Amino acid sequence: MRPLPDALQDELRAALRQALRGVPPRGDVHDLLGRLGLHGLEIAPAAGGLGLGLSYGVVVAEELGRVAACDTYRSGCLAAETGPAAAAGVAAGARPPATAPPPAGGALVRARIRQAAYLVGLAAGAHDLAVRRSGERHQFGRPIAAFQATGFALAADLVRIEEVRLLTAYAAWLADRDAAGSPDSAAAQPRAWPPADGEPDLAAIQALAAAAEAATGVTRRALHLHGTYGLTGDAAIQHYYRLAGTEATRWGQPAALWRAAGHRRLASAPDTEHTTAVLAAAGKGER
Amino acid sequence: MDFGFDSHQSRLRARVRAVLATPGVRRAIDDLAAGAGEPDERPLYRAIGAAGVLAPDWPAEFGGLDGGPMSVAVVAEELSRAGVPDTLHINTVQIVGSVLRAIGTADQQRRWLPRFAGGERFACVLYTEPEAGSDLAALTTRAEPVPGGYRVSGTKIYSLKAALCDVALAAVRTGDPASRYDGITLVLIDLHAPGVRATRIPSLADEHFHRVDLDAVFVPESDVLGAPGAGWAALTTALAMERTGLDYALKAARWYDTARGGLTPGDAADSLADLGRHGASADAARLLAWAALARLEEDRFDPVFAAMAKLHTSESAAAVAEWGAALRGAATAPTTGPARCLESAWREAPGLTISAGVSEVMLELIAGSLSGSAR
Ligand SMILES: Cc1cc2nc3c(=O)[nH]c(=O)nc-3n(C[C@H](O)[C@H](O)[C@H](O)COP(=O)(O)OP(=O)(O)OC[C@H]3O[C@@H](n4cnc5c(N)ncnc54)[C@H](O)[C@@H]3O)c2cc1C
Repeated sequence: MRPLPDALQDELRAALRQALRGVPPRGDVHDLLGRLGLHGLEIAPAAGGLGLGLSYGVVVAEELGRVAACDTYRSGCLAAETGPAAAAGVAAGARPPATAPPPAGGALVRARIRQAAYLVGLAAGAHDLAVRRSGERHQFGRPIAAFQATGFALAADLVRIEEVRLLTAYAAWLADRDAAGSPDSAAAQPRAWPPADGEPDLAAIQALAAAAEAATGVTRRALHLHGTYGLTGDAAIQHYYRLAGTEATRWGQPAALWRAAGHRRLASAPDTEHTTAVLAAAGKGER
Repeated sequence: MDFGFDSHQSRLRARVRAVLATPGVRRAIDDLAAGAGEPDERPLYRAIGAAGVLAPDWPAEFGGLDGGPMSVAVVAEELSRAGVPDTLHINTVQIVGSVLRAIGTADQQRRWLPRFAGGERFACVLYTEPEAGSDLAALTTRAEPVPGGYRVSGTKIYSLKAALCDVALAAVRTGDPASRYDGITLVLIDLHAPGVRATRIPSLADEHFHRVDLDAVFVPESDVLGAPGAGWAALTTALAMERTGLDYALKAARWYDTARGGLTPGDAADSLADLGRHGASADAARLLAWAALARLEEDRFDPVFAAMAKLHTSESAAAVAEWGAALRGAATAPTTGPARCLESAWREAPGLTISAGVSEVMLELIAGSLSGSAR
């Protein structure tokens, strides 16, 4: 158990952030990612890729969202899942087709997790802009961020972003673990409580639903903190707001995703020992 | 990122689970449920402590298992799953024990830690005062120097479990009353010493508070923790370390599981989306608590991240409780079954976003860390 980025994730994030600096909102980053050799990050080495898992793919998607890039990374990964020929093309830097049939099964699970990561990035990028702006802009003789009402809103959004980032990383880890197949020894180990050995399907659905709501909510608040300037053509923040609106529902509307998540929660079996403990404690008459 | 428990942690989980399944421990858990009023969990902790699993992150010489902070999560998860009430463990081992490990002398550690780990002695926390809550630096309890130690006078409130405990960790003022941060000192107070009086303060929740009046209580020099007057730094560190959110995350999971288990397919159809939302929020709570512990494990402890974990986990657990109560009708005060558990959760919930630092103080800490802001 080490729910912190590993060295490679840190390195990947730092390198991408550096390379993406100065990319304008809604900029085309296809060639830039090609030069970094990242189109094939998740693609199997046999098809010319790096064979790194979704746990690294979500780092890429989040950094792309952070600069509100119009990327081909997500669509490329999806296109590559249709077969080895397509995978080799994507890994070699070919642009994926602009439209593709909607994914299903494992491809949909992975597309949702990547999408969640991109939305986390959008929220984080918009939040950075709002922190900067509200620290610099003075009204009533002090920075806007110095008011509790604004500072608390920014703080609460930071927590929300971290929460969704972790849900997304967890979903990616589960998907990678499933793809790798679990070792025999795993079966002999006690099942954790609360159930930590979740299913990637549920984890992907809830990560995407939470990320979609975080992205729309955080970008709206971030724009709000910019004042009217935020609405104008010069302001980067309005691109985050727009992109959050269109990207939030790409693989399902949040309301439908939450219902789907609830459905899966009902289907999973309760931990009978825990239920017994609750019932035993609840037998107590007096309080 | 790795969200899987390693084989060492899984072995610890199996070991704790085996301890909790022994007849002596089971009987002690059942006895709690059978008794009236707020139960005395000490016999239960004595039974678990005898098996040596209460302080897995402590060195073996102090009754621990030489594990890291992550091992605390494994033990806490299993205690929660088996229905063991957490307050005595949190206060004694996780809070007072941690402070002793951080700033106690070798002699103080030898004196207390093995007894805490063994479930033989219990500790409570005396920080809050009637006029010093969130603003703890306003505390006024005085410690006057006398030959061989101090005489402590003042009033502490809202302490949980004080009536069951042997010793208290208290924050007192040894220095100039006019200064805020200078002159605060952490001491251990023998709760059986002359001059200590604990009075019960009834609470909305099942666990009651205590007011502890201290009237010229003698505290020998050997019970002063760290350098006199320099306790504020240790106190803020201790408070931050309480804020991994682990216990709140476990409450969220426990209550969520109970609410979910009690749903009939008919109720469920109406609340599928809520079931999804609260499930995600409870999962995120656990992930944040783990991430905070992992930072501790690598000596990269970050008080701002801890504030984030405390804020989310407590708010999440409170929201789950509110939801669970709405599903089951808290107002009817049921006496048995999952409804009783959820009704009790509903009365406990408001305290979660107050204890260990109110949500607004967490937001202040987080907001203050935002770069670019002039706060
Ligand atoms: C279940 C539980 C267990 C506890 N156990 C112990 C214990 O064992 N030992 C012990 O010493 N204490 C204990 N406490 C006390 C606890 O630490 C204090 O209650 C807490 O620090 C808050 O102080 P207060 O209650 O005086 O609230 P106050 O400080 O009076 O705050 C009241 C409200 O004011 C607002 N507020 C406060 N500060 C700010 C701010 N900076 N910005 C904006 N709004 C603000 C918030 O809405 C807050 O909820 C416990 C409390 C609870 C609920």
